[in-house]
Amino acid sequence: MIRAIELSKKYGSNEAVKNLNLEVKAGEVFGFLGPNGAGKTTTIKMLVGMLSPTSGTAEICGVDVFKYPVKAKSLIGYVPDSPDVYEKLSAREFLRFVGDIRRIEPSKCESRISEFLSLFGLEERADDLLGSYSHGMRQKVCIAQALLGEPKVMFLDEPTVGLDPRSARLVKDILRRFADRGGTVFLSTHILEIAERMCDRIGIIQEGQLIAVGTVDELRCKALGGTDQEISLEDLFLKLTGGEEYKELIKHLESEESL
Amino acid sequence: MDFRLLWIIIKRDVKGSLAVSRSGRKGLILTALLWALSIAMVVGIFYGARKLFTFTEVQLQAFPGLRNVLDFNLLNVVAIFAFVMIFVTEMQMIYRMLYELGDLPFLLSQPIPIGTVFASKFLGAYVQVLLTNLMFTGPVWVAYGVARQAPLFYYPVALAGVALATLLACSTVSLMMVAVMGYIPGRRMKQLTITAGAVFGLIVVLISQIASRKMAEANVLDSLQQLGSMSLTQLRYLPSTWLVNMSLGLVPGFGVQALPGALALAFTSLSFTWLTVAVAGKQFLRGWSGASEEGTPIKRAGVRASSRPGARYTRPPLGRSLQGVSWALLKKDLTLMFRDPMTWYNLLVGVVVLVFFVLNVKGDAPDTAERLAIQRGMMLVMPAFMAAVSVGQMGGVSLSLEASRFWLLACQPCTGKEVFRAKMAYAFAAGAVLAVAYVLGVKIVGGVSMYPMWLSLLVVLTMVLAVSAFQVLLDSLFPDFTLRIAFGETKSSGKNAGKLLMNMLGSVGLVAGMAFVLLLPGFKWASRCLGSSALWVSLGILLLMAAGIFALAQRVAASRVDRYLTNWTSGSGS
Ligand SMILES: Nc1ncnc2c1ncn2[C@@H]1O[C@H](COP(=O)(O)OP(=O)(O)OP(=O)(O)O)[C@@H](O)[C@H]1O
Ligand SMILES: [Mg+2]
Repeated sequence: MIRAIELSKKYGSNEAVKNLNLEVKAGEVFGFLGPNGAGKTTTIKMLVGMLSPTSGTAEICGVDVFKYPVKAKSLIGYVPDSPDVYEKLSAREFLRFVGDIRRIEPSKCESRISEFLSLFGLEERADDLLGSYSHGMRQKVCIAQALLGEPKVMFLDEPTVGLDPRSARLVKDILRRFADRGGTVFLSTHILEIAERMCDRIGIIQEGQLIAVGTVDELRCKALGGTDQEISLEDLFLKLTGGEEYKELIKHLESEESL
Repeated sequence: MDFRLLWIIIKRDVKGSLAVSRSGRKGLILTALLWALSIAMVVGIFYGARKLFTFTEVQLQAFPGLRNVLDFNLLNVVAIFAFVMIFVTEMQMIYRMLYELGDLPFLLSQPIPIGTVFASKFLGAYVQVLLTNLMFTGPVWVAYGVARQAPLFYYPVALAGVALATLLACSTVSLMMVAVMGYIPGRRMKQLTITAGAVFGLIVVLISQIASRKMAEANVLDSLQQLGSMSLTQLRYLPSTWLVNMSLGLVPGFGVQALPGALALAFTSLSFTWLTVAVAGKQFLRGWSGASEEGTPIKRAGVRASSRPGARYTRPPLGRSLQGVSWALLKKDLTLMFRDPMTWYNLLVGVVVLVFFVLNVKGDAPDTAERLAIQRGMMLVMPAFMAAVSVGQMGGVSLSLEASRFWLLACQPCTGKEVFRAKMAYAFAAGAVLAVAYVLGVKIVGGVSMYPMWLSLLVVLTMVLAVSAFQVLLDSLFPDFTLRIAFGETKSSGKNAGKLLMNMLGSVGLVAGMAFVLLLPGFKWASRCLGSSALWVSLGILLLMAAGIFALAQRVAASRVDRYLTNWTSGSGS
């Protein structure tokens, strides 16, 4: 479903993503983890076809994203990392706009819009301008927007940021169901609980390089060299991304405090 | 007021605005283009004005009194033009600088007196307005000094006069905004009041201009009889007169005194500024909080209807055939346009200017065929010109205005061509409505000869089409995705005055070029070569020009947009 082949991106001399190879299958939820500035957003933007890579290619359902961007984008739903929306449109108008662009049949579009609005608990505010929405409410509209076009593949850049626990749970359920019906989900997150509970596989990226891919259990095995030790995903993450130094730092801070 | 903090803020603002102009190769091209256009305009205005002043000097050598009255009037018109500019084009800029800059939340969260924060923003707005004013009216003052061999001292005094007059206008407008934003409840009401206030101000300025012209007309006859004795004292109450007197007092042979005008101007502008800052210190925060507040739901009644379960979807008026990217984009842009109070403000200003234009258009029946052609052509150039300015302000930034929302288009299955068509239709719609209104207005009310209706409309719409395509092309070549223009949108970055200015100059240049073609039948050589077919030839060239510009724009802009759609490095636009 999603394939990245030697995907690289340089911003000037800064290599944001280096030779990334990746495959995600249909029906899978893939979690993308990594420290700040590791290249998660950059990777997602390239896979969506809105950022051209310095080298390498990517395919969505066998369609080359950079050769046939329009065809590929019609298969994709994307939720950006910051929910920038037209502040002078209402949520309903915003969704209609997306529906029109995607040429969804109007009556079907309307019923889907109503469905999503009530799903996210926004129907009361559906005709208020988006400028009056809170961050979390805008995030929900962006997620609804991505689902509206019945995509085959969903890309979500930190989808639960700003959502209350109940809504975050809702989004997780929606994505799980989407995958169970044969869709593919690719999400980046900093919330390890999401990665552990929800994702079939995770990938960890650091300084633009994919340093580990697999199920959480596989990664545990690899990191601990086969010992059957219990280790939390947090410690695993820190271990893989070289977070041991943080422990030193924290010790240092503590010693300063005690002075 | 804390002057140390004020200095720190200003220093940072200046650094920030210098950093912008250094960004990247495209930024450099844009800056260079802007400078070239500006310099060309300044030089053009200077030469034009000097020619005019030398001409009156030579023609009226025998009547120094009459010449003085004429000078006085010309300069008065220039001064008033500066005031009108502030109401017509600078209003939104001042509002943006005062209430919508992205760093306001930061500044207001710091331990800085509110009055100081306001003063820094006010100063920024004032400097921008002053620079624009100096670009347009500065060359005229210099040209006057050169033509009349004024003493060296004249130049700094004229500069100070323009600076003070601009300060007066700026602080009046700001005072009104601060008061309205602070005291009037409700977002809608605030916008309405500001709009009404500004339009009222514009009308007052225009009427005072007409009044001063009427008086001066009377004076011309007077002064023919009693040379040298001028009765310009009647206009003593107008700020524009203070400005003119202040400068003319230093020109030899002029019987006016500079000091009273200078004192009056300095006193009123400084006291208005002081008052503005004082009121802002108390009211700015409240107004600012109100500015970012979003309105209540639009169309309450309609809301209930559409959210009722089972409510049927009402099809777009033009049916399913127009579904798709371009149509969706156009619909969205038009919706946003009508929700933007600036649209209504511009519309009102447009109506006021239209009325003045139509009522003041009169012409004696010209004696030759060439003169007739010129007159008829001019009656079409003016509407096209007015429309071009608004196309530049709306269509010329329509792509940039997607700004941070561009991700939405970039992740949708749409092509650059579809986006270009939508933006093109949007730009054209805005300009076409205005141009047609002007043509109809002049036709119905004005007392001048015009080409037949169908021909007039064809010509004007062709010109608007060319300008629209050109503007969308410009915007696709030099987009500024940090641009925000509307009232009440947050995260503004206030460096867009340059882009708007470039759009305007581009429009004006293109219209001037097409006007030349349109006026072809008015040139002796052309009418001699082509005879009565001159009109058709010029029409043909015009249509070819528009088609060419459209084709070029579509090709280039579509591929540019395609590039943005597939390579969106957020916000930087490079
Ligand atoms: N528009 C840009 N121009 C230049 N460099 C950029 C740009 N966007 C990102 N970068 C750089 O690319 C690298 C990867 O950034 P990216 O946004 O992909 O990180 P991320 O993994 O999403 O981080 P976060 O967890 O903070 O969201 C960073 O070093 C960043 O500085
Ligand atoms: Mg990111």
